[in-house]
Formats: sequence, structure tokens, C-alpha cells
Amino acid sequence: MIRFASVTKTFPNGKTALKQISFEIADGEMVGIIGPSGSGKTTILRLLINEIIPTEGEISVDDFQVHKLNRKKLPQLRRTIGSVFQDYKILTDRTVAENVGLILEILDLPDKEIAEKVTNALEMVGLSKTEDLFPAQLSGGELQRVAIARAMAMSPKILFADEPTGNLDSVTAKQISKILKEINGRGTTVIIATHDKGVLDFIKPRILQLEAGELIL
Amino acid sequence: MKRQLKATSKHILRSPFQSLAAILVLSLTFFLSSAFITILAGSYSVARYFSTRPQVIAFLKDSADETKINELKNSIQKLSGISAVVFTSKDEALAKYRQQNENDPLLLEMVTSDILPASLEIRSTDPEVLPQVAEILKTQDIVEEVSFHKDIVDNLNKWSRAIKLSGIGLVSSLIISSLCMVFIVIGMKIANRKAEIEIIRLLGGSGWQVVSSFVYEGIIYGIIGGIIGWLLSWLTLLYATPAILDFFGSIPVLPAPTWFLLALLGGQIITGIIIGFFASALAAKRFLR
Repeated sequence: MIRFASVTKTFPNGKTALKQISFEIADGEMVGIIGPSGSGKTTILRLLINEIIPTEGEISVDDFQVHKLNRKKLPQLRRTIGSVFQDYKILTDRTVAENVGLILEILDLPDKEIAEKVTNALEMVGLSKTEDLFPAQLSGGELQRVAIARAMAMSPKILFADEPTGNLDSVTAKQISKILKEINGRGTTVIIATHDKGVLDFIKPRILQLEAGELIL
Repeated sequence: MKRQLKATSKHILRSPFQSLAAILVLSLTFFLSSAFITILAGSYSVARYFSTRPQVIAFLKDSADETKINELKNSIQKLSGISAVVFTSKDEALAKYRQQNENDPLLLEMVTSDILPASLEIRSTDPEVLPQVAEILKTQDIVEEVSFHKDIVDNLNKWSRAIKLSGIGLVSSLIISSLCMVFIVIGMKIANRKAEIEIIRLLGGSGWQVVSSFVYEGIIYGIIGGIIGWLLSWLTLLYATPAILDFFGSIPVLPAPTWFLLALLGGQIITGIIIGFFASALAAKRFLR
């Protein structure tokens, strides 16, 4: 369960990105956050993974009180939420398999288990033959799928995809949307932040609409 | 741990010249440190050698009778800081002389026991009392001459102190340079891998998981630097051994005991680990803020 209660975020430059936002997302739900650029979608993701803290209000993810989270518990929270970033955040000097297995290696899982999880995650996104390729050899859609595979490699309870189809053509965007739908079908809570209404029309999630930092739907 | 060490070795190989610079500076530090420690240990050996020699020798007049000699011997013995007062008769002095010059028949022929005086050799545990002893002996009727090696021991002690102080200064400044070097190299590596670190953090890597490979890297530099520095100093000592033996003659400064060399190696590795740990931990704290 994710809960935002009267959350406001004002940045040091005085810009208020979110104003008194409140919503709840149940386990296993599929939610689409829609709004134009600068409406506060990415700020929600950043608040959710405690990259920034709210100016006001409370945020909780399961048992984590995110707004007052102890630094020691931060890694646990972030392992609960698989994040897919707008700019992919893929390491260009690592192969696809190394990128997907990055956090698994950091967690010091056995090599065999890492290989298994990486293979499963890449199969899930339809990239099973790209393990040894480098990011420069992949298309934008494939990079986005690598980012989804990396987020899913740890089997998180929640997947937050920030503009997952932002830089993609409509056919690739549909493929990505289909993958996200399948992930939700396996019981993972999926949150998609996008400005592309077409994606949400295809997935049909519950919609939260943002406008200049305020929730209007 | 195994995987983190593997990652660390990858990081070292990815920017080998930065790593080489850090290792070279650490090796130089440890080479000079071990050279300084070896010289210091040698100077103490020399000082110890001289301090076990008779420090004050009173040559006695031929007219000195046994009673007076014993009285003087006992009175000196009673002074604090005196470890031994040894009487050498004229015959014993001749025997010693013959032993020392057994290969030179000409010298042996020229000397008889009449020429060599009897003597009292005084050894002390406290060099401060020696001038007083020398003064007492000079006032005695039965004493012909007093030989006092105060200058040798004093000079050796002065040199040892000077070596110690300048060595501490040199080694301290080298350790600070090494700390700075490892700090800068690790800092540069952190800066080069900022994107990777950010991703690891966002995906749920803990602080230690982010920092550990850098800390291990610093420690590895320290260990390698310690071993290379020790190896260089050991090879230099081996190379210089004939010259050292020739210079010091009968003073037993070499061979350096095995325990000393092993302790030096162990000490350098431990110091390397400490330098590597602190420099890399500081760099991680500073650059990951």
C-alpha cells in the first residue's frame, strides 16, 4: 500500500512542484499518473524512493514511513520499489547482463542466482539474446526494456516507470506498455508516470491526473 | 567480499596509471621509512656496542699496592649507576695485548709486561655518572691517567637522536603525502564513476556497498606499497652489506635479525592498510557527499 497524505514539495529555488497531494495505491494495482511536463510526476517518484523529502505531509510505502525514513532503511525501501527512469540510467561500459545484474551483485547474491535472475528478467522483457551486447548496440526501446528488466530483477513489490515511452515510437511504446501490463498481471503494483494519454488508453489503469503540482482527478 | 574485491581489481585495471601513481608514492614512503628504521636500529646497535665497552679506564701507577687498588675498586663500585669495575693486572694486560696483536710478531717483541700498566675498567648503566667517576679517579694517588670515552657515546647518542628526529619528520611528511595521493586518486575514481554510484544508490545499494570497493582499493594500494617498499629496502641492504661490514669492522651491526625484517614487513603492511583505509574512507566521505 502506497499512501501520500497532503504532500507538498517546494524546492530551494522556491518552485512548488506538488501542492497538498493525497492519494492511495493498493497492492497489485495499476495506476497511471498523467500530466504535462513539469506537473510533478517525476517529483512523486523521487519522493517515493526518498531521493528528496517532502516539505509537508506524509508518505508511506507498506511499513516504511518514507517522509521520516532512517538512512539505514533507505536501501530496503529502494529494493521494494523497482524504478524505471526517464533517462534509463544504463551504464554504457557494461553489458546488458551486467546492467541488469548490477544491484544483484551489490547485494552479493551467488553468481548462479544472479545469472538465473538476469535471464528471467531479460526473458520477461523479450531481450533474452542481448545479454552480451553493450547499450550502444541497442535501440531506445531495447534500452527501456533493459531498464525495466533491471528494475524487475530484484522482484520488487512495486514498479514505478517514469515516462517509460517518452522517447519511443508508437509501436515500441505499445510493446513497453504490454510488458508493464504483464508485470502487473503477475501481482506487482505498477505506477506509470506519463504525458502520453495513448499509453494509458492501451493499459487502462486507474488515472491520477496532475496539473501544475495539483491532483485534479 | 570476494565479489567486491573482484570489482576493486577491475577498478584498478580500468585506470592503471592513477593506481600506479598511488602505489609508487606509497612504495617510496615505505622504502624510505624502512631505510630510516634500519639505520636507526643500526645506530642503536653501534651505541649499544660502545656502551658495553669500558667507558672509563683508570691506568694505575706501578707503585699502586693491592690494598689501595681494592679500596678504590670498592668505593667506585658503591656509586649508583656503576654496573662493573674490573681490575686488569699488568700480566693480564700483556696477555690481552698479545691476543690482539698475535699476527704481528714485531709488536709482540717490543712489549713486555713492564710497559703495560695495570688498570681499572669501569662500566656504567647511566652515562650521566661517568664524568663524576672520571673526576674521582683523577684525584687518586695511585692513578696515573684516566681514559674517558664520554665523547664517543655522547656523539653516538646525539647522532641517534638526530637520525630519530629527522627520520620522524621525513616519514611523517611522506605519510601525509601518501595519504593525500591516495585521497586524490580515490577521489578521481569516485568522480569518474559518479553515474554508476548514483544508479547503485537509486537501486538500493547501501552506503557501505557503494563505498566498500573504494576502501578496498585504498587498502590494496597500501599493502602493495608496503611490500614493494620493504622489498626495495631489503635489496638495498643486501647490496650494501659488504660496504657496511667493511665500514663498521668488528662492530656487529649486520646481519639484521630475521625477526627484525619480518616485523618491519608486518609493520609496513599494517601501516599501509591504515593509510589506505583512512585516505579512501576520507575520499569517499568527501566526494560522495
